[in-house]
Amino acid sequence: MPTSKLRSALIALALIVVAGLANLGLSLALEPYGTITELIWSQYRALEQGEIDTLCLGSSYAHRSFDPAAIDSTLGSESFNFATPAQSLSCSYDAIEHAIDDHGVTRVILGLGIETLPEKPWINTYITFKQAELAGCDLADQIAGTLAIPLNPSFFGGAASLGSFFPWAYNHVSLSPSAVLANIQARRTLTLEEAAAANDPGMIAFGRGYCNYDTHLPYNWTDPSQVSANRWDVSEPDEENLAALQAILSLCAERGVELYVVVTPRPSFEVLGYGEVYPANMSALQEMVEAGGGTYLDFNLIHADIYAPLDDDFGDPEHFNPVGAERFSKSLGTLIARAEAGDDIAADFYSYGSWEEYLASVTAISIVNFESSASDGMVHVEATAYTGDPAQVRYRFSVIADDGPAQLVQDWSEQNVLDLPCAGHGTITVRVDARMADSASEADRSYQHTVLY
Amino acid sequence: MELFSAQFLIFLAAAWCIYMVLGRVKPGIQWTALLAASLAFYAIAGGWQSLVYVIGAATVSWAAAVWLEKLEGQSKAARKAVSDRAEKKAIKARFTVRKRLVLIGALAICLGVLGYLKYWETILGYLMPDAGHLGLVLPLGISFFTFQVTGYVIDVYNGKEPAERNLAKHLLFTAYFPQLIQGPINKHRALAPQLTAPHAPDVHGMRRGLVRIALGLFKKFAVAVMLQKTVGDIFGHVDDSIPGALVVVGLLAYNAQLYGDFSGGIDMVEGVSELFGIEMGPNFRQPYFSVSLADFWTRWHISLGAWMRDYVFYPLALTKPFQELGKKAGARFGKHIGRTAGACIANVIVFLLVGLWHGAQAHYLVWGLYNGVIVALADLFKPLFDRMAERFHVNREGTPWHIVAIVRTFIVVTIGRYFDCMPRVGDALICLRNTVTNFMPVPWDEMLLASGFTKGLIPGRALLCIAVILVIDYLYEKGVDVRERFLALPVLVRFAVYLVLGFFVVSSLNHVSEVGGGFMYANF
Repeated sequence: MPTSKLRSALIALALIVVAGLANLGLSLALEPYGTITELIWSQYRALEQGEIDTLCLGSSYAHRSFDPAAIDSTLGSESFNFATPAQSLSCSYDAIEHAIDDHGVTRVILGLGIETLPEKPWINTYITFKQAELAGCDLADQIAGTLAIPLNPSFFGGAASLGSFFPWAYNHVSLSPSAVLANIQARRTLTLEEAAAANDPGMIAFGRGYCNYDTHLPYNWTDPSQVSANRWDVSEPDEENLAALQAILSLCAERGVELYVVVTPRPSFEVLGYGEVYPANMSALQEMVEAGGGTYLDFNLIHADIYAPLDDDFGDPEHFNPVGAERFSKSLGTLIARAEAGDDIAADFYSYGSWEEYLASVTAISIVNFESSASDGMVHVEATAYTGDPAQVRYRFSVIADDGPAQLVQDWSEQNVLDLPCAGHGTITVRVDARMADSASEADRSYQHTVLY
Repeated sequence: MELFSAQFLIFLAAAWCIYMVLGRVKPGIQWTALLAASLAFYAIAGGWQSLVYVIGAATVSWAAAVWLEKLEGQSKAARKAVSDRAEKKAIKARFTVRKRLVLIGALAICLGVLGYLKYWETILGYLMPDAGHLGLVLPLGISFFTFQVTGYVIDVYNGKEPAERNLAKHLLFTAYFPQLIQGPINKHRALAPQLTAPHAPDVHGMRRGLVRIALGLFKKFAVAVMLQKTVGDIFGHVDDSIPGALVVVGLLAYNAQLYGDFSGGIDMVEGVSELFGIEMGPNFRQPYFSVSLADFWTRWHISLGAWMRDYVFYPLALTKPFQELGKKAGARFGKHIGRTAGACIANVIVFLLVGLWHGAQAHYLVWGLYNGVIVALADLFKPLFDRMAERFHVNREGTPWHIVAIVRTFIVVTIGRYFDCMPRVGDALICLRNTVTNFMPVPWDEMLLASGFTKGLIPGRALLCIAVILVIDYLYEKGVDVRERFLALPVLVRFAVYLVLGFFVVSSLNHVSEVGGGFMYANF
């Protein structure tokens, strides 16, 4: 090779190494140290071999629903919550395989929601999960595992496949110098637990993988964009997710592991928002799970005398707070114990085939909110109250002045629409109150929002 | 398979290696590697069912071209065999009818398939709003390869180039993978000879190609992707309340997004093609430095404009009715009107077709009509504008007027974008009206909050990247070969530039997860 070509090749190689080091440096500086996923993996690794017999996992629905101590208290198990934020089903498969190999778990509780199958896996949480998983491996496995990320069928044909080589692009601390410096400092001085607590001061770590946030869902301030049915497209299941769920069913069946697929409870507006799509999609999921040998439990459809979440149990529309998770987990543990004792628990749930029965059981208004539009000098407001029988809802509309007082513009009636004449252009604050026809309250639920006209 | 993906990178590396190795071992059949790669790409990216369309279009256009050439040969031979001029003329007329039938048949099949797949669903929607969807899926790149092969057939019909006898080589011209996603619409005589000629690795050409790919990535990810959500959020729900200020910001963002997306994508595929030693036709030439709308259309989507000029505008403008119209208008309204009347009507028709090419929805037709009418009016009133400039002593050669012309053109283009970026004409009209009558009804912050924008509208770094692209375009406009200049810089400077631009590209990837990584023109 001529000298000039050799020189060019060496320079190119050196620059590639420099670029690689710069990328590594950015990852160390920007990728947050002490994520929930890292914390959970470290707690999992700290377990003695055979210390657990029950593995709870899934995405944040599961993470913030399964309280291992509460489950163990009623089921008599030794459980661990291996659910991580937006955990894909392929990651759940990996976690189950680890737990079977490492601890010989005999029971798996997989928590999910109606969005789990249709939602394509997210690259950011996939990278975090894989990084945490590979952190315990030797260098060769780490390199092989990192190179395998872009080849995952969910990402292979998209920008995320190449993006996975730059994990800091997906997960980073705030891009202010102080936040970056604090992150670097944390890597040097803090333990994972300390860093996790510092990163996320609202998080309460309960141990055995479980952490949660002590928040409360503001039922009178939940706007339409927060209702899951308005945010997620659940029309088609993702092929990779279907394959991963099938693989989980097969793995559990082959290894003699009892698999419970649990649809975690949500406030009823979350289920009602999906309308007829909910029973259609979920009955297909139930069929798949039961055909694969799993036990399917949709806790949104459980009879109220067995278990009913309280309004105060939810931290946000999709997740429990610690109190809610504890109540739910105790109920779940009790139910599984009954099932394993031979009880027929199927009768404790409404079936998707008798959807009307479920709707009849939802007698309260979960939330009310409205959408608005402006045309021809009118503001058109259309309110939606989420309850089993919308015909029983009465609405009242008011306009809130800038200085506070409400001016009634449409008194209690069955009318859920309001057409408000508005001359010119500006903003107006509208409030809607809703109550059931037989309610004794002044208003069961309310919502107000400022709209442009 | 997106262009920026591990799948495409692996595909490209494999295709390039096989192509170059075959070129070294057996240069005569090197092009077959490119054909195999193109068909594989189409099957992976568009689905194997789509392959039927591209092979069908190639076969029909190949057969038609060969047939046309054969008929021309027969015509020549028959005319040679007779000596009588009248008989020669009759023979030519007879064969011209046959050739015309072949041409019309080929165009009807190719454009008919395109029309059915692209427009039928929309037309049915207008005719029978309650009818369900047919579920027609537009095969990847069909608008581009259909126009490419129809242009080729017309050229063969007109005797401008010989027919390709080898179906496989013609299939490669039709399905050449870099052009399949969003063009450009290449001319057969410019592209086909390059595709079948042997190529050895050309280090300098490849370095130029890589720089172009890098620039394309920068435009696509650091600008288009970063603005996509803003544009979608602003125009996702239009009603009477939308403030004009928000509309203007949305349209400016849309201008930048569309340019970043389309020209960025073209830069990437042109760069990919250059890695193989093949130069495709240009599609952009600093469009935002145009001094008139007509000028803009010679710089934006150049290959579509050229296709329309060669196969619609000239054939129309040179027809008898148009010529006669010119004569009559000239006699009545003067020489200038006489000269331009036919061209003006042809321009309006051409731009209507450009609109229709984008889709059968009414807003595209209005957008096309708007462009056609403005170009036609500018042509018609040119003497008036000249007189006004003279009267007000405007120096149209100077820099200040040049800047005014650029800004004026940008405004004219942006007004057209009202109809381009909104899916309904009614929405566009509301936005146009509110831009004038309801610009900022309440203070900016309050307006953003009430419109649901809690985190600001345009990311600051997207503005920085737009500025970088403007500087690059300015240098090109000044005649600087930016790629050559860049490659002449010291290696450490180039490396630093790559690192900085790469940072902007990579740090936008999180947004790709949110908005998707496909190209806007891939939908056409």
